[in-house]
Amino acid sequence: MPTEKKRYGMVIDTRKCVGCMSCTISCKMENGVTYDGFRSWVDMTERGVFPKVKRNFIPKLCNHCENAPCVTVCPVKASYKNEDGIVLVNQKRCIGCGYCIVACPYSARYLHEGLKVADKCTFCDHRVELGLEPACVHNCMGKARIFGDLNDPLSEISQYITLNGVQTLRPDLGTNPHIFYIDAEINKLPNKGGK
Amino acid sequence: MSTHDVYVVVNASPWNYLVPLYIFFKGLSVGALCISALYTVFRSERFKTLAFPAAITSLLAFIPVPFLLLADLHQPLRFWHLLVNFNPMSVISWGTWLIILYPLCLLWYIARLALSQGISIPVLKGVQESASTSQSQSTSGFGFRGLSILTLSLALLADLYTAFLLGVVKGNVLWNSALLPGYFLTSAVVTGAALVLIVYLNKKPEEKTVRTLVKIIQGALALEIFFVISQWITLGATSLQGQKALELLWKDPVYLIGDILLGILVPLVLLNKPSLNKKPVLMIGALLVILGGLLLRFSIVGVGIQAAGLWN
Repeated sequence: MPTEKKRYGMVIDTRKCVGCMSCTISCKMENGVTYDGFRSWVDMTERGVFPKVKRNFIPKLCNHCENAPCVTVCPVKASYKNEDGIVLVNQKRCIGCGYCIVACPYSARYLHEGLKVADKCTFCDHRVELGLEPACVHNCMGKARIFGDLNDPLSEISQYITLNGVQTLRPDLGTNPHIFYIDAEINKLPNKGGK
Repeated sequence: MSTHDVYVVVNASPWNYLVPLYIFFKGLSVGALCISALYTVFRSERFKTLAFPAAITSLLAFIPVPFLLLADLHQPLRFWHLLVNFNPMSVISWGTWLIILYPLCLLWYIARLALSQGISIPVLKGVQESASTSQSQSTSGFGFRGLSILTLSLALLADLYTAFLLGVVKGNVLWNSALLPGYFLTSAVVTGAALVLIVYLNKKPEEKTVRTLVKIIQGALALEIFFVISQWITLGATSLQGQKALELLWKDPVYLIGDILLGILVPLVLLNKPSLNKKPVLMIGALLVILGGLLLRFSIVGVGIQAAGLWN
């Protein structure tokens, strides 16, 4: 039985991602993300030696961490975690010190050039409130993104997590992300000389 | 098997040159105050003549700090939010109050110090009058010593908080180190002492005091070398992330040529066997020490941001 309290999360099945960037574009359009920042994007890496080369797509966004470093470090409590697990920024309170942006180990925040405050993925909370999916999920042509309530064992996301092995980004940091990956090459070493 | 990034997004850091400048000037102020405190807190008579100029140097070095802090905020008019929304888990929240309390305490300290040395400061006339009243109410010399200890404590905390501010950033191996507070504090003391040396050399310096001051600088520089080597060893030995960060650090000319060579090694040579006959050499040595402290802040902040970008 689902608990009364919702806890939103997302599964990204990288087997289904084709790197079309519709998530990136739809996010920018839905949320008015400025040119020089990203709330949602797709990292692309190539692995292997010709002719056995594979291109990997790793869609990324705010991990809506259980122990969010951005919330901890915010000096004015502008970054906060909603009851439903979504990490948000009170843009009227934010002073634009940039500490949360630097403290995010996933580089998921950026400084909104127009508003001069920190900005990040909100899981399209304005859509979720209306019972809709986030724009990136709605527009994913490969259906690689599954969004839902992690506390509801009958939800599609919970079923997906149960049936598939999932990974998270940087589990060593103890942030407990709410974004889960399936079959992702997430433990790659950095560019230039990585083996 | 090789992995090559084809298209990787790293959202730009909003921190620019203002952050290392802010840390640098704060360190200068704290370092200069430490020299003043050698007389007022630790009762070293040799520094009696230096105590007041060092305290004034500390105050002057602090002047850019609040402006740099405000300029670094992208919403500077919302600065007051820091005062009404205290987050005990945030290092900046604590730092805000330290940055407010430290200069206030420093002003009071300077006024009391000037009074005790029979110096009148027209700009601080009001503060001095208040200080004079409180001094006359004080039954012993403990009042001023207590104030000195308080000012020094606030100064040390004000300097250390920036190291903790960087140190608590998860996943940033360059910053997330127990060495950083000691490293920054040592650098603060050495740059502050170097600035005081420059000021003192332009007054009527005594050979013995100059020698002691230079010894302090040399000792702090040696301690800095210890921190540098410790940082290299720990970064290189702990993890691949650490190795990559170390690689970036070594490739940064600001760090290797600026901080290590010009800021530590060359001054150690120039400041060897100090004598008033070698005043210009001492001046150049002290200036290089200050430059090294500035470049250290730039490289640690800059490379730290760069290194974190490799692993997001």
